[in-house]
Amino acid sequence: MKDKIIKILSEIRPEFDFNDTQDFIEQGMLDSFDIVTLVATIDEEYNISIDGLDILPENFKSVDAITKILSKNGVS
Amino acid sequence: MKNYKIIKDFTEIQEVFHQVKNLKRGLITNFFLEPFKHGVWIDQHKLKLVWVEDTALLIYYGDDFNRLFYISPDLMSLGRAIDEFMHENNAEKIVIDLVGLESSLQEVSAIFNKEGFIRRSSLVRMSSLGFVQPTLIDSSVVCADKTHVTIIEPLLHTYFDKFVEQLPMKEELNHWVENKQILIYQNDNRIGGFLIFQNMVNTAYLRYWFVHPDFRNQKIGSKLINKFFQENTEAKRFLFWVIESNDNAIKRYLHYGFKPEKLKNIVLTINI
Repeated sequence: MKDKIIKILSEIRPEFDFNDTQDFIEQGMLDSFDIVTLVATIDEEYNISIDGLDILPENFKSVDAITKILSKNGVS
Repeated sequence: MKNYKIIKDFTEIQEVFHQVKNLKRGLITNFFLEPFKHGVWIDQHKLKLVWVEDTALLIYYGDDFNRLFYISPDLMSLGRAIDEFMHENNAEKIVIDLVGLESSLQEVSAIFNKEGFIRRSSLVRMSSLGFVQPTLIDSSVVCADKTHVTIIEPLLHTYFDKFVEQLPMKEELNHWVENKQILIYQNDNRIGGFLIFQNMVNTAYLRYWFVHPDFRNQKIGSKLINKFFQENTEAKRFLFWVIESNDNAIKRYLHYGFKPEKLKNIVLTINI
């Protein structure tokens, strides 16, 4: 799952290395526009619908955080 | 008349996203959170919400004109919402920013065009990757202090397009001063130019870069941008928005290694 998440992130912001970063938001790698794009892409890729209440920067700040959101939506 | 509710807290916006997403039909929006700016709007009770069927519309009531934002499950719902909203607000001066890949903006744009909105301008995002070595450092470029805000604010309103370039409020200018994000070139107690930026570790976002006409052809723009690069040596990406038709500015940015991205901001207006 990690590889696929990194692939999605790299398609949105190809200039960054998402493998070794703890906090994509704090490091300025994703902005609010990127997060909305990321939510739409994840919804489509995994055929899920992330809850609007979960569209918060902290839920997309790292691969682990995104993995948790995916798990919450039944993706394992 | 629809029920227009003043937004008093960020969680109310989050709740809107929740309700629209729960419809499980998708999400289209032009509302991208800018915590400081939107926090000021909320504190000043200038942001209102109205639901039209499944679409939430957020309206920022500015002094001269309003800004319209949508959070909608799909284009059809958005189209109906805008049609109904404009019947109630047909005399209002409204500006709307559509942000995305140009191909994805055509259908959304058509919805607003149908209601009488016209394309006032479009901006393209440009970026530069990697560390930029500053070359021209001048001690005349310093960080602005709060006394400079009263000079910078009218310059912004005189030389920038208030409908297109999202001119900052005084609160934002003061905030940027506190964060040392406004650089000025000063000569004989006059501000010859300024550069405003926002930065997070990896990304430096150039917001406004200005040289006063009385000070042009003195390399002041270069001095400002070199100081900007010097202040952001950790940044891996530099970016900013530029008006697409401003060939001179684009040439200048290309000179500094910036390249246009595919991301566009189409600015539509009505009654302006």
